[in-house]
Amino acid sequence: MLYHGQDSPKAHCQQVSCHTVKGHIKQERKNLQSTKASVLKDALDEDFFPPSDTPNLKTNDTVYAMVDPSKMGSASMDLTGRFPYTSRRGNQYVLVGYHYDANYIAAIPLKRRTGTEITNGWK
Amino acid sequence: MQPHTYVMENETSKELLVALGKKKIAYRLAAPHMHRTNAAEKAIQTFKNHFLSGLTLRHSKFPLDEWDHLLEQAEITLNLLRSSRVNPTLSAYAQLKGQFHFNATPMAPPGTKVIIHDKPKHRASWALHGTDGFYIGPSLHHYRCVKCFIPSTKSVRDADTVSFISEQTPIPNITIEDHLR
Repeated sequence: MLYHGQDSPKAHCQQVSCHTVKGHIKQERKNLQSTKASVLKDALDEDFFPPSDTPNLKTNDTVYAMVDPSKMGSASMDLTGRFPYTSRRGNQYVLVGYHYDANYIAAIPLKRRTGTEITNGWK
Repeated sequence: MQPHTYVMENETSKELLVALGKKKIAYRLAAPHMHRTNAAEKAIQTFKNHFLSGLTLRHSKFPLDEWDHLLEQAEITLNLLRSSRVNPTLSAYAQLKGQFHFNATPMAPPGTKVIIHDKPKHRASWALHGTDGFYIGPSLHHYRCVKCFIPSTKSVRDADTVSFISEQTPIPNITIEDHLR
């Protein structure tokens, strides 16, 4: 066979490629492809319900959002249980924040569940 | 989009409440032993599910005591997948932090093994061209760079040239049977 001993073909294959790279890797060339942001309309200012050009043809293009007004502008946070591994930097917990309007979930690693740590994490 | 009210668990530290008061942000505490009023409880579930499935993608040699490095990418990817509540045509990430540019700040599966290119000026003339490392996330303040963790020095480096060595998708190998076919 093409690979040595009892190594699985997968493992051997990786070793070869890894070593090839170590000897051959070169600085990546620049300007291969433009990474300028494509011309995106600023969706924040966009009309949610633009008037249709053919009002009698399109009837099923509806976007709706159910927003509880009492929760608008609110955010919440809570701590997870201890992660089974303490990281080398000493982090054990994750402070999870939730932004209601944006539906955004934020995660910050914490070392201890003390007030100071949580306050720093929140900042 | 700074929130004006924070909802928190009943057992919240006084220090945090003082800090919120200083910034003139109101807070509301969930009733004792009533976790469902706190929306973050659901967010924790969602985040843990997302983070754990991301963790399974890591290379088998990725040191698990570096798990906290992977939180940043998990947060970005999770919020790119969630739609904003006030504008469902935007992602939660775009709503809060602006459009994410995949070309300018590329991403890869978390914890993938990489060979990081060592610049010719900083290596000996017969040294290997690359260092072993693990991809941990996009480096958002560099142009087309990725953050890599280097186990030999236990440090994080922003690298512009890396070669990804995937463990999950083996590189095709030609066998004798293929040759004879």
